[in-house]
Amino acid sequence: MTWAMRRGPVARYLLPVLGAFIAGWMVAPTLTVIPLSFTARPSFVFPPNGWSTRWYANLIHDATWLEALKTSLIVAILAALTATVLGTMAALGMRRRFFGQRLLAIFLLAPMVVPVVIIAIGIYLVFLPWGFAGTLPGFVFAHSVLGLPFVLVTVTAGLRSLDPQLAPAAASLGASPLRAFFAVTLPLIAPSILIGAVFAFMASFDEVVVSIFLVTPTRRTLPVEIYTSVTRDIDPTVAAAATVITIFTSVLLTAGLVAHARRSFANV
Amino acid sequence: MSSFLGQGATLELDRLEKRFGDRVAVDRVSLTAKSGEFLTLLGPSGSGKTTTLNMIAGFVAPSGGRIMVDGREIEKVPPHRRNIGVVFQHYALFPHMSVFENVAFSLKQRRCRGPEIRSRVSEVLELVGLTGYAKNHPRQLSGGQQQRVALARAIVFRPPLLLMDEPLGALDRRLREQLQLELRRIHQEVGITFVYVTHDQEEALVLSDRIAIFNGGRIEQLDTAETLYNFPQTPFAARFLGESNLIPVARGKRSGEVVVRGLGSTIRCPSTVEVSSDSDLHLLVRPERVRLCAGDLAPIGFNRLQGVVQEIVYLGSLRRIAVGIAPGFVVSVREQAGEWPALAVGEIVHVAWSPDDSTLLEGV
Amino acid sequence: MLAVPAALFLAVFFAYPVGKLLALSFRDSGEFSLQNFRWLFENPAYMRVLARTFWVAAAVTAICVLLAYPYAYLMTLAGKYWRVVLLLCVLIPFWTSLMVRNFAWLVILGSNGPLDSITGWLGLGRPAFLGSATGVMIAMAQILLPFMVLPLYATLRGIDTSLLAAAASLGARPSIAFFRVYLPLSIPGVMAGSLLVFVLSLGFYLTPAIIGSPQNSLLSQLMVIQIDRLLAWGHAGALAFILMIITVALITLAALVGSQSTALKHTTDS
Repeated sequence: MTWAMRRGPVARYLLPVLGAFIAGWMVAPTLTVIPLSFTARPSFVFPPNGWSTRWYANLIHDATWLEALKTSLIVAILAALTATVLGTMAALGMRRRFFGQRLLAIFLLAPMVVPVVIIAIGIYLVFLPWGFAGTLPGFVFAHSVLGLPFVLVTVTAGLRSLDPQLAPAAASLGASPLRAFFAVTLPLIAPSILIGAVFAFMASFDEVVVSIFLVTPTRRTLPVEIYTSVTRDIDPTVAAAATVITIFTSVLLTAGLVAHARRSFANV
Repeated sequence: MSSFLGQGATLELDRLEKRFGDRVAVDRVSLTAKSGEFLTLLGPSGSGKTTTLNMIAGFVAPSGGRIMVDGREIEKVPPHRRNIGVVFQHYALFPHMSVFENVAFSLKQRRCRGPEIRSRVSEVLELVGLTGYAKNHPRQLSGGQQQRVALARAIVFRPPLLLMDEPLGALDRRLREQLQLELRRIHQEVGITFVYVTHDQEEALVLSDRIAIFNGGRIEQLDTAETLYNFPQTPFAARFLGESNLIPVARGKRSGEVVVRGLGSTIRCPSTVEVSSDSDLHLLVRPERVRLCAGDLAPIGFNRLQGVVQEIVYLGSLRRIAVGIAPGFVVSVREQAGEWPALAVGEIVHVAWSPDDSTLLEGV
Repeated sequence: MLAVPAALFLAVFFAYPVGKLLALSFRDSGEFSLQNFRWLFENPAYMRVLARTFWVAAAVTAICVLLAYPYAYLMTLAGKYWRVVLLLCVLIPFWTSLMVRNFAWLVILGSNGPLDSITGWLGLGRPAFLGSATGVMIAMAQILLPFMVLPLYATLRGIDTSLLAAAASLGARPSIAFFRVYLPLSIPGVMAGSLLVFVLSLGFYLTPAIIGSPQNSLLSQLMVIQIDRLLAWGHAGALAFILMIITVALITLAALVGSQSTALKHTTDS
């Protein structure tokens, strides 16, 4: 550290200013949505030159938006559940080394790597003949695919941080492998499972590309609703919806982050 | 604590073996631990002692051989049914449970009832000196306290056999010595069979009734501490337990005589009749049996060699003196400080010892 | 074994869909054919789309490197409190809705939007960002910046600053020490972040779709149009195939490079 401080004015002044600018650039765009949602006129001019809360009223009373919100929430909860159960089981099943483990891991993490457009079109291709497009199960299955890798990663990390001698200790004390799992392992990885579930929920709640293909006039998700509204007309109700989403997800993730920070942010 | 006494099991290992691919970690190890005995498995890292312990506990499946507790073969029994207590080096306490819950865990698995659990847990916490800590969590305790909890947890269900894998290894010296004495006390009060793994020979000497010295997956010797120290059977055992002078020798012309290799001098020793070959023959003399003497004043019958003082290390009440007899041949002498006040490095001295205080050892 | 349900689930809902789509790229009217690829490569407009996708991705990557490097460097210099603040500034947009971020850029880049006002005020005229490749690049760079900052920071913080002190003691000026010692050591992080951002840019859909225009389509938009309007699975499959090959190749490259440098650091693994 002291070495760096001996550097010239470039490091001491220019760098922090640049850093502040970049930090602002990363955070600011999201924040523009909030004032915009209070604009008086139906336009996206920013900064807005009048204030009103009618777009929020619109949001609450508009059946389309409410339906979309409801669908998004239900799908996200179910998809998070599915992804969490499958992902946790997978993490537990892959604790020991076995033949082809690496390959399996790559396969289970692949949805994070393959471009979403390809997954979206592929799922649409397959859901059409199966009749899953526009159905609740269809959305849930598709979103679970995207959320599963998150759960796998977090639960695997949680399992790795476990003291490997706890399981033998429990066995020596008379606990069968099943009892040992429920009494010792599960309580200790519960936080990791929860965080994975939150990520899977977020992945589903925010999902646009796959959902674009799967929506029908009767069943739409909130992000797709925003997308079509944005590409169709200029309605600041969108900004209100966007603000609601932003605040909701920020709260959710901050809560998760605080819980996680107590464990691992000591070594940033 | 009379509820504990007299329940120690006998442990017998019969040609126990463990192979990892090509590597033989445990090579047909056989031993018997008597009921209520404190047996220590002593050896350097990688000598197979921990693997042996893990096989007894059931965490590792043997490649061959038998394990018998009180005459019953247990190799096929899963670890959670063996009823053997285990104490781990890094405690392995359940972090999400209190001390009470940790200790009560085994009783819960055995479906004991609330009142009985409470009384037995408090009984064993008192035994290890942790009364009043029942509600604490492991992270609130010091290393020594955590190890006591681990011990309490492992004996509360009255197993006939207790295994300990270097349990004091993670503690500092003073605490280690303190807990060693406590372990002895607890062993005497409780009366069950203890099998203890360590690489620390002093620890082994303090705690054990008998010691098994492990080397390269085999037991070199299994005896009481006294026998091991005075009559080691291999140079390894001699080196591992206590300090030693191992003089490379070859058989001399007559029985009872050996020739120092490289030097040519003849020295006397106990009978050489049983020695099979000349290769890898050593004469063991413990440093405290060697004395310094002046010129011709060595007692009759003692071996005597002349050398130069190379180093004097002051150890408080003792001194360790390295005397160079020939290049590469150094004899270590332990003597009470004060016998030779004027001794200095570079002085010419004589070292002497009685042939009865030496042992011939074959092997490496 | 416990991982089977997850594997089966992904096999049905992920591997099969993607596989079928890719397979369809080799079919035309039910028979094996390379017609779809011919359709793609023989059309100059589509080839322009491919080219545009590549250089947009390259430009986004370059912008990200230029911005992320000083930022990540600052993070290594910062005290504990500020480091957390800087990290949060990177992570928070990461977690807020992608859709919201794209909408925000739509607002910012719009005519009469704030960016327009700023450039007008700076005397740069009022270019139409919305619908232009430039606008798409700016938005994508902001959205993908965290993917560059995080791997880069991970690498930078692992650089032993005593090496720089050693260079100084040997007589090197700070700028020389930076270019000859620090920069080379930071290359693995730059490579990792760049590969990641490049790969993500290639397949990005949402931002080009919202900020861009049909005249400036990227690969992903082309793919969607094939389905949206024409249900031309074969064409979409061919595009997907190209994208997949490049993605897999780059990711494998990144993994190989990454494992080589970590192999140099680690000794044994138990």
